Amino acid sequence: MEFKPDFELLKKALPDIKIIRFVAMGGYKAVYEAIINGSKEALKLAYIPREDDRSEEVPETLLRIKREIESLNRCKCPYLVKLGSLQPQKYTIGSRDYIVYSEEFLEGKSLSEFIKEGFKPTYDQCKRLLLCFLHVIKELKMNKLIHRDIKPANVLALDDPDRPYVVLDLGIAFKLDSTTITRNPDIRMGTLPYMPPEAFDVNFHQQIDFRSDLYSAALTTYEYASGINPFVQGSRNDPTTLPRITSIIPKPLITYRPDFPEAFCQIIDQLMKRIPALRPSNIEGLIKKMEAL
Amino acid sequence: MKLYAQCGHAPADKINRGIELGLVDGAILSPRYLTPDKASELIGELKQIKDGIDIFLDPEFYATRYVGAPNAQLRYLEEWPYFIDTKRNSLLINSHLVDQVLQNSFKAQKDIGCTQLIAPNIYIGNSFDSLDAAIAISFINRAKSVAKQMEANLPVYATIAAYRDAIIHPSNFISFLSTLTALEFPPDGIYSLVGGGPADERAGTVRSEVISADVIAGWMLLNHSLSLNGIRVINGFSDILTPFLGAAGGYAGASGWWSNLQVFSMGRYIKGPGGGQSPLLKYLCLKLLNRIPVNSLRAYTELVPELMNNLPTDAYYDGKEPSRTEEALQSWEAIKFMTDITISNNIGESLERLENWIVNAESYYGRLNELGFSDDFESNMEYLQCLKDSLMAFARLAEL
Repeated sequence: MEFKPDFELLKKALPDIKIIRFVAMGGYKAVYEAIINGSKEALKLAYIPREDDRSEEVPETLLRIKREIESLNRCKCPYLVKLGSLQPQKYTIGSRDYIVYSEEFLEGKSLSEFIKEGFKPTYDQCKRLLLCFLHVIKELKMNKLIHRDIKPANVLALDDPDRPYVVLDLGIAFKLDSTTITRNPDIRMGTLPYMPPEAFDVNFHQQIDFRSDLYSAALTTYEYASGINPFVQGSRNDPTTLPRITSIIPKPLITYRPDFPEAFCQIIDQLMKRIPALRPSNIEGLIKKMEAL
Repeated sequence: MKLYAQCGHAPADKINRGIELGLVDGAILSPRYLTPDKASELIGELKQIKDGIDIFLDPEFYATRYVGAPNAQLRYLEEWPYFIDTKRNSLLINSHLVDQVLQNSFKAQKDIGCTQLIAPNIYIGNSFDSLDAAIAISFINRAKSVAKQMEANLPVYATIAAYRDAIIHPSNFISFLSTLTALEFPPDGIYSLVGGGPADERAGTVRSEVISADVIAGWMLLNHSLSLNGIRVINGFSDILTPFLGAAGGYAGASGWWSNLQVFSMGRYIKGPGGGQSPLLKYLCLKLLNRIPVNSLRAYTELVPELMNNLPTDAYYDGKEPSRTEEALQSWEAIKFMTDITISNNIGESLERLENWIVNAESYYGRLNELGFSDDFESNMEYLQCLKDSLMAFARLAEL
């Protein structure tokens, strides 16, 4: 990937941090396993493109990181990744500029890896996953935030009964009642196969709310449970994905998982409705209903 | 699903008997026909008949648009303290005015002994993408908070009163529903009114403008979407559509004794041509999904006896003309019966039962036609087709 710095240069630029290995990369960020202030943390490097740097405006990347950090600071839900000890700082590594900060290091596999392996989760695992999502979305809603990028790759399954699943990456989170960070007002943020239908509406800014996260969370649970994303045929960037999102009704989850309780499958199906008003929006009520199942 | 008596002119003992016989679960009173004192007296009487019944007063605030109009017929409405013409722009600009109207109306309802509150609202004319809709949302949004501030301690139903044309534009209507279902402090429920044009005042349900596949499907969608979000919907003037709205998730329906209590229309607040005959006594025939005049009932059932509902109130029609009260009781019993047997916990199953019901009605009309009763055959078949289409349109909208 173009923006990832040379490993040796990185180590040289951050002499107080013991960088163990490169972990993952996505969007404009790279993640490393590192020892920071004596404990293992996830070191995050966010690349700041130079053209942004020349502009008089504050670069979009910087604003996004600022928002992500503010958001993570505000949210106390255990199912959301926590910030680490390294405060954001600007570094020039090689010829490129980065913002460097840290988050807690979580030992676990992402749901996308499980899906790729053809893993078939139990009902209990899916139920716990949905409950984690509901708690996260409730917390985000209280803070007037929309995650906008809930997907299997952004969820880690941990070997910790208190935190069975943790949602990562608030990098493109949207703050309601706040100014927009995205410079191009027509850009729809998110990962296509997990974006809700309202994200493609002409007035999408007016349409998106916490129910968009509920949709993506349900879709992620659906895919985890069934191994199928109903909107993707072939590759994830297939041109038919978008029209499928806005037109098809996915097969009921019970079709793929007849071993699951019907009530659970119905909740997932209902949260994936195209019209936000058809998705149950009382999160507290949904949590109670799920716990009673 | 509950059924309420939609009250209006000349109630006599209709509501009392309906409650006594358990045919209705309560009443929605009209301040247009009752002074505050009379309303209070009536509520006291009704509460004595049965404990725990639901008594509402529709504040009919939407009719304030006619205050001062030379041809307005508002009757006792202007005797109610909250019924004051408030300019639309003032409601839009001054949010405290909305609170004031809500407060005054809740106080009036509490004072007379209502068991639940209906929040006033304005009428949404042609579109949900309008100033009217913006003001309406403001009333709905504030209803629960204002009741709480007043320590009203009664369930609050916010009104949505809309003209049928507003509902048939799905994108605006759906966008309104999206806003409504994401309110931070939603009311306990919605009192929904879907209006036809002025001609519907005397048309009766079957020939009204509300009978359109898109309108019924939209009304069903409102019930479905709100029920999914834990908001109860009481459907005013829902009459024979009650089971359809209940299948979609509606909490209650309502119907009254005159045709203008079976279909909602703003036409009632404006003086019409007047005069005319007293309406024919009718029988709500469930097999035909229609009200038929007593004379026709006699003629039909002589050849097709199974057209009778086989319900206790059929006795009122046994060889005699029923009284107006008996006519109302028969109508309530029929609606309640059909609602009870068509609605299940499974929405797909309920829709299927309703569809089968309509198909049966078509075959009964076919038989009557073959027997020479061809009056209105085509329009009745069109009406039934429209009901069938509404089920399909609803299933499409609700992504079932």
